[in-house]
Amino acid sequence: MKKFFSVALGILTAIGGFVDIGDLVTNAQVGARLGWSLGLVVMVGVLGICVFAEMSGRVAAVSHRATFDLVRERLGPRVGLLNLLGSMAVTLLTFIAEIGGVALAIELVVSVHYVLLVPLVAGLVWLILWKARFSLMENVLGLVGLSLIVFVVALWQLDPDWGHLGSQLVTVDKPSDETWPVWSYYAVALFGAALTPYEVFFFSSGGVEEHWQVEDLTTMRLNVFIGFPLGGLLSLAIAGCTAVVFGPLDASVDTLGQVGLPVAVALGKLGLAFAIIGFVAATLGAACETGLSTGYSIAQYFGWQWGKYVKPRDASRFHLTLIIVTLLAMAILVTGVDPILVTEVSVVFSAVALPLTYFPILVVANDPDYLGEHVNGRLANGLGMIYLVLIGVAATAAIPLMIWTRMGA
Amino acid sequence: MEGFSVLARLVAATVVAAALTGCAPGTPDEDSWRGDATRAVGDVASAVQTARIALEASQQDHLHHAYLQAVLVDAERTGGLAADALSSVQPPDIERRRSSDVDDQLEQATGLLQEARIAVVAHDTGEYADLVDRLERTASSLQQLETDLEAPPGDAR
Repeated sequence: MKKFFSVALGILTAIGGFVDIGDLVTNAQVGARLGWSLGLVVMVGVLGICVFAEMSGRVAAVSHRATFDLVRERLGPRVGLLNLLGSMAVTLLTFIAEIGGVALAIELVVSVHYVLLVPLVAGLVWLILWKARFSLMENVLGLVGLSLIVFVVALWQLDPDWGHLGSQLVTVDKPSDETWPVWSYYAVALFGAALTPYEVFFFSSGGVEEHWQVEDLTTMRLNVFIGFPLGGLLSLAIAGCTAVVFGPLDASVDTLGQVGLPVAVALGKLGLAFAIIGFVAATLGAACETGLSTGYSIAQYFGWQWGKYVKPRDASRFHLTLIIVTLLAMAILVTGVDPILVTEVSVVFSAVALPLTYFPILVVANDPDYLGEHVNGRLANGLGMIYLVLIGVAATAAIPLMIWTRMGA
Repeated sequence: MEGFSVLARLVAATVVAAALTGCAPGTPDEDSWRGDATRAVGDVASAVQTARIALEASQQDHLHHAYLQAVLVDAERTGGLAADALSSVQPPDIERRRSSDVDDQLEQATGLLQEARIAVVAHDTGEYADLVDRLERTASSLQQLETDLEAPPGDAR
């Protein structure tokens, strides 16, 4: 029974923790402009994160070391540094976007400008990273993040033309007034949002923090292969809601307030309250995960002591890194930079950095010195190779499409 | 070595040309201006539609006041930014008359968004019904303008 609850809790937190500011904003924007015509990209992205999260989770459970702890050792300091710089830049950008997202979500309730809320949010994030137990942080924020299920209920209540949405999903039916470059730009952005590098940093390092063993592999796989796809359904529901409310009006979505409006239209104040709680939990959870990921990556590359399971005085450089990146994110946000714009940029640059993150995982997961009999099988390698090709295409196309379409304008 | 010297001169000439032309205000071609104008009108229309949906939801008691206020403030800001961005673009001669019409309509729309935000912040709920009607009419005329702008002046409906 205890095992059942442990698996159920893991799945629920995986669902609730799947969506972050990048998913919220990008799916809402895409839904309003392109309906569900990019739904397949979301599904492909979700399967991709499942494939690589399973690999990095397996590496953590078998070797008791985080994937990127092994990258430098396996691929050498130069490739390790390239991997660190590329992934860190995107993770830092995502961290800034998440803290900004929390402030924007709170602004919707308190009517105080988000810039004034940023120092408080940054302080709260740091406090959680410093004080809260790892499992508490992950479980509480993941479970509260489940309130985003309100988007599924709202979509049902909005009573869309399911035939039209389904047809868009299956036939990749782009609206006639949108161009293929714009469609492709948003496809890359959605793919980048689904496969954000920090998710695997956090997943593999979290496995070490929680002392995963080989016996935990089944639980880990259930969390990944059930929890993440159900989390992906939330992304589709968000896109569906904005497709129904904003799509017919040819209105674009540029703010977090607009993302929640369809829920208010469908379900009223109570539904909206759930949506706002979901926004705060999803972005706060992701802020903690991205913040920790920056500390994990740097500490693992330089061989410092790291982790929340280690006393701060024993992992002082790791905790100093967390303080520095939190202050840096706060300093950038208080300049008044639009967190939604940072989010849009972060998901595109996430696509650019994908090969630097995912190629090393595939290499390490194939190394019998670390994984013994648990190295990748044919299926994992086959999917991994297919995804490396997709990731290569997305990474190559991201910047040209961003310039060509003026960020999807 | 000679090839390198030619390349260096070319690079220098390009840098000087870019610096000189970069100092002068450029006039976009007709297509480029129409593209900018269509985008700006579309963005302002989006802001107007968002404000309308939010006010309607508020009339049905579906929205908290703080949320409504945040949405209206954002709508005013995004609409204003889009209108300002277009007003700083020099229109080509053939589009000057339409440019003036576009500026006027965008100014009216952003003015209406400001009016709506003022009413919301002041809790002036009696104004909401009238504002919803005016926002709906404005959105509809902006959408017509957006469609017209997709064609050159003579071809517009």
